[in-house]
Amino acid sequence: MSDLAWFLVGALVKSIIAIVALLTAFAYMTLIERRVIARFQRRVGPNRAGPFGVFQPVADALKMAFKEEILPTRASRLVFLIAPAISVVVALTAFAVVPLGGPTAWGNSSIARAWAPYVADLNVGVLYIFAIASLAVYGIVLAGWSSGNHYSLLGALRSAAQMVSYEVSITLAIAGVLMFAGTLNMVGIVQAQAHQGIWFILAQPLGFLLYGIAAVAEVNRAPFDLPEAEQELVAGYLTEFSGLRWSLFQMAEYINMITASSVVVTLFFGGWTLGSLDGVFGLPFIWYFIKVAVFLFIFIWLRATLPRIRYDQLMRFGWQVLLPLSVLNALVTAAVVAYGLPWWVSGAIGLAILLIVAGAFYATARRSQPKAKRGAGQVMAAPTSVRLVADAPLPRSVDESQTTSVSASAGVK
Amino acid sequence: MPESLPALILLGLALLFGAATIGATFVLGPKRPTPEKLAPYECGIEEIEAPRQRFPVKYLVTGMLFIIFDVEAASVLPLAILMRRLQGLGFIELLVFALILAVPFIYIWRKGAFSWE
Amino acid sequence: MLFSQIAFYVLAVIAVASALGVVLNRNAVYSMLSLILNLLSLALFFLLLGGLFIATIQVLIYAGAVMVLFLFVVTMLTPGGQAPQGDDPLRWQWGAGIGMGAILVGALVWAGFTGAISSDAKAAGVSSLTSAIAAFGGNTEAFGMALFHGYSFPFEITGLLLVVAALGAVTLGRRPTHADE
Repeated sequence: MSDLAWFLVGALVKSIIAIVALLTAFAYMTLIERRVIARFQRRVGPNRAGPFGVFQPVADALKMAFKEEILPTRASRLVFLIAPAISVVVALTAFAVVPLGGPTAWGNSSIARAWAPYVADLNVGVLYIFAIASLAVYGIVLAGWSSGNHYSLLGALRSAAQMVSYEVSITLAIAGVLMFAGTLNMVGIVQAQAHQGIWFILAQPLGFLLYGIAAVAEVNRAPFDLPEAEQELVAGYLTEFSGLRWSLFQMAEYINMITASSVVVTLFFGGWTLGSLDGVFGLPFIWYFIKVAVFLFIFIWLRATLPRIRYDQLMRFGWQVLLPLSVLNALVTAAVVAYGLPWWVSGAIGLAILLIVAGAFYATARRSQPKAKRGAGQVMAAPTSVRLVADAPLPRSVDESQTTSVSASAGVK
Repeated sequence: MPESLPALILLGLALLFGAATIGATFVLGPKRPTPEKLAPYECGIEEIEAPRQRFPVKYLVTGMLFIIFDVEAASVLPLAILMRRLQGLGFIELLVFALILAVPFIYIWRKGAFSWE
Repeated sequence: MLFSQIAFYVLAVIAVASALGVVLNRNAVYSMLSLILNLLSLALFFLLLGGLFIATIQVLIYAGAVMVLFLFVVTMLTPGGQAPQGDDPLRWQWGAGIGMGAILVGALVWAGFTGAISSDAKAAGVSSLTSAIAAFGGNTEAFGMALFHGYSFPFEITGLLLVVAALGAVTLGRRPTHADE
């Protein structure tokens, strides 16, 4: 067979593998997320189906497939049906350029290169991911619009405005990395890090943080999961969806999470490269998967820890904090790269900006706090429910004031 | 073209998967619709009116501002990868571009387009 | 070569059909969907011509731009996007549209027959594009060098265009003040 034929066969097989792997990863991410969140909340989580609950995703998938699919009378039929498909197609397609390993992972012959561990090696690399991901908003908006329900449409509009507001910052936040790498190509960015001997997070701490925050908002995860703010909007754009159509949206959310984590690892944490251990078979893959897993865990950690942000705060934060900071980061990095200064200059300036901003946030948070809570000597009134989750058993007797102070201190612990 | 073919192949397979799943929703699962089930979900109360009234124009303004800054971001990326080659010229170009766009940004901010009630 | 020709004709049919869909749909949201399809097929045309960067930018920018049209529908028209019933108040647009379409087709035919679109010119374009991509090490790099090295002043002027657009957006979305009433 000719090289081109091998290339196409390789692409086809790798695409199938990528889709199957992403779907499996999605299924097990749901289980891992439920188990981990349960740990955070001192519960056990699903552990009945098989050892450690490993068959739980299978059970969930079967249950979802055999649920009744509701097609509301008010719904706009065609759009209602294609909206979930758009979401998942976009999520799967965006993964094409993510490199799990180097172009020569299986050797140096042209046939081995056709099997390089990524689907496509595009010159526009990371821009391709952003372009495809910018289509994701259509799945959500069309789902909300076609449902014919107040909650759905309002939820969809909110998430559209949110995704759109953070998309600019996400693009500008990586400009710094691109200046250091000198290419948009994902493989090229990893190789540039290996070549320059640093992970770009060292030169771009601010860019990394901005990208991280904006990425969480882009994939609509906590604390930016406003479209699903159930107290206000039932389930946002998901309200009228059920069964497999509903799970397609979940699928898209988790796959987007995996892609976002992969992009972080590729752009800021050196991708698969291990230095002198690169040649050991399989080791770069494991190294890469460990790094991605860490960021997936951080996604879950954020969800377990942070309360949801109010909508006006979210929009203000995106436009008034993230956007100016990402432009500033791009300008600082541009100066460093254009005038040939060493990488640690932009790293140090980035950290300094980060400290100043954090200080400003802390100061405003203190100022806006009610007076009563600030005094050191005052007893903090804790709700009685604090006692239910405290570790140490509380002293039985004692009068009212003592109980309050003890439970408060236990709660703080 | 050949370098982008694999991405198109993945797109095609993803489209197949999406279409197959949506098709499966018609085959699998029970079909026992009732008028209540098919009515818009309203937390158990009767729906007062259909969503016919228009939404706040704020969303449209946000969308338009997004396009403007998205064009900015998209033109910064090719400049970014050439920064090492263009050196001082690249930095000055980026600086001037950012300063030009800072003017409407500050104006929009002062007009309160970023604050939601 | 054969492959790209087949791809071209398939894409041409999709592009024309979706363009007709934009104009002929009575529901604004369905028009918007046709427009997305149309712009995506244009992106694939760019891809066929080897313009990977332009194709990507086409998707990136127009995805957001069409989104704004949707927001326009739900904020300015009815959220359902239905057109008002009854007679078309802008009937003259049909005549004007057909007239301008005829002029466009005529110009294309004229250009095709007089040789303004000759295979020589096309070959020259392809070869200069290929050499530029080879010289700068990639599609994006070639585009960037052309824009930021050769045309930096027009690039900055584009920034001013964006300023005007931003002011327009804010003015459109402004609440009427007491002075206006």
